Parts: sequence; structure tokens; C-alpha cells
Amino acid sequence: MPDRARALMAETFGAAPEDIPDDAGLGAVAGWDSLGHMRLVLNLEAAIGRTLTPEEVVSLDSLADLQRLLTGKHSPSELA
Amino acid sequence: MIASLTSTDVDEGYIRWWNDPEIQQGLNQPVRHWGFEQARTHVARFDDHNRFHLGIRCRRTTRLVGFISLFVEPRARVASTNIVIGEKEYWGRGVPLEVRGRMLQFLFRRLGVEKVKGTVYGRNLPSIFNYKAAGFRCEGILRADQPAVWGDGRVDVYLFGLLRDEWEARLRAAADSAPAEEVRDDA
Repeated sequence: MPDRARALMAETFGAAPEDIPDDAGLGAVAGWDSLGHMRLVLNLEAAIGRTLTPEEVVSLDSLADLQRLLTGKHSPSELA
Repeated sequence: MIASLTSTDVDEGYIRWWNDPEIQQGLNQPVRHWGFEQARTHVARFDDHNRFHLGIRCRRTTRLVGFISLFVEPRARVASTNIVIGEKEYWGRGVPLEVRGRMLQFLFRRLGVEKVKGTVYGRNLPSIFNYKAAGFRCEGILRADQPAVWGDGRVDVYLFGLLRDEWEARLRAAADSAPAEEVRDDA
């Protein structure tokens, strides 16, 4: 998993990057609670310089999703 | 702890939540400017049959910290829900997740509903997290569906749903992944 998403998640949750596993999922990382989720979305938006669409907001479930949103790739369901 | 609210449970804290801009903004609602009379009238509208208004109390202090509202459609066997944590010192402490679990058990097992729904107005990101963490799926987004009560423009509305089968599957998965000691204790 590229380091950018992991670093963003670690910074948001006050964790060390090595403590964020590749399969990190919603609520399964220390600090990824309701307020942590809000901070993660806001930090992601600051990083990409735009507001997430509602579809993107509800698609953020994992480290992999964070990476996808950072790189501007679309999820399969968004393309359907 | 969750238990049905009655008019005698209405306290200054409960009234304050309805009049708090930050709380009402998250619900895309205006502040109510309620006093005791209006709040008690509101509580009395729930019949504990198809409309429930349950208080959320801190286990340690028994202080009322929030509430759950449930609206059951008996013919469709569907329930709409709303959870508000009014005391802000309890925000970010997982209270909605904990009480939603018990609420779902009540709705699916006791009342026999087949689906539980929830609605999020605008970018209420903590609420979106709480629904997803409880296993709800976002079934649709109504774009710019409501006028923004706070500020200009309109807000998107997120529709969440959880089916009984999905909830049962989550319970089984949690039991399967729990250590053997815990499973025995729960049996």
C-alpha cells in the first residue's frame, strides 16, 4: 500500500504508520471512531484540494479506499 | 442503559439539546426554543407501541445523555430510527454504536421488524460513520434534497438501511471470531 494514504491515516489518528495494517478498515484502527472519521474526511479533502462528493464520502471504508480517493481513481460501483 | 422516556424524565439537559444550535445543525433542524411544557408534550406523543422515545443513560451515573426515537411501520415491518447524543462530553465515545446494537436487538428480535432505516441530513460525517460501523448500507443519496436550515443552499440526504438477515449474519460473524471463552459465556 503506498505510503501517502497510510501517512494520512496515521497522522489523523495519532498513530505510527507501521501500526496501520494493509487491511485497515472502518472502525478497526485505534482512533477511527466517529470523530476520527470526520477528521479523516476533512484531512483527505485538504490533501486533494476539493470537497468529496456524497458518493465518495460513503465509499470511504478502508485504507485502500483512502488510497483510491487520494489518487482520484473511481470505485467499481461509481462506474456502474 | 436505554429505557422508555416519560414526561417526568424531562430535565434541563434534555431541553437544552433541542435548543442547541450545534446539535440541531447536525440534524438540519432549527433550534426549538422549547421549555419544559413543549418538551413534555413532545415526549408524551410517543406511545411505546409503534413510536418509541428511549432515553440513553450513562451506566455509571444514570445521567440522561441522549435519546433514541423509533418509528415502526407494522404493516411493512420496517422501523425508522434516530439517535441523538445530547451531552457533548459523550461524543466520540462510541455511545451510538453501543446503543444501536441494543436497539437493533429490540427491533429485530422483540418487535420482529425486517428492516431498520436511518437518515442523515447533510455532511454529518460522525453519523455516517456510526451507521456504517453498525452494518447499515447506504441505499441512496438524495442530492440537494432539503433546504439547508443552517446557511445557504440545500443539503444532500443519505438513506441507510439494514436488513434482518444482514444483522443476523453480522452477529454470527462476530460470534465466530470471538474467543471460545467469550462464546461460552454468551451461551
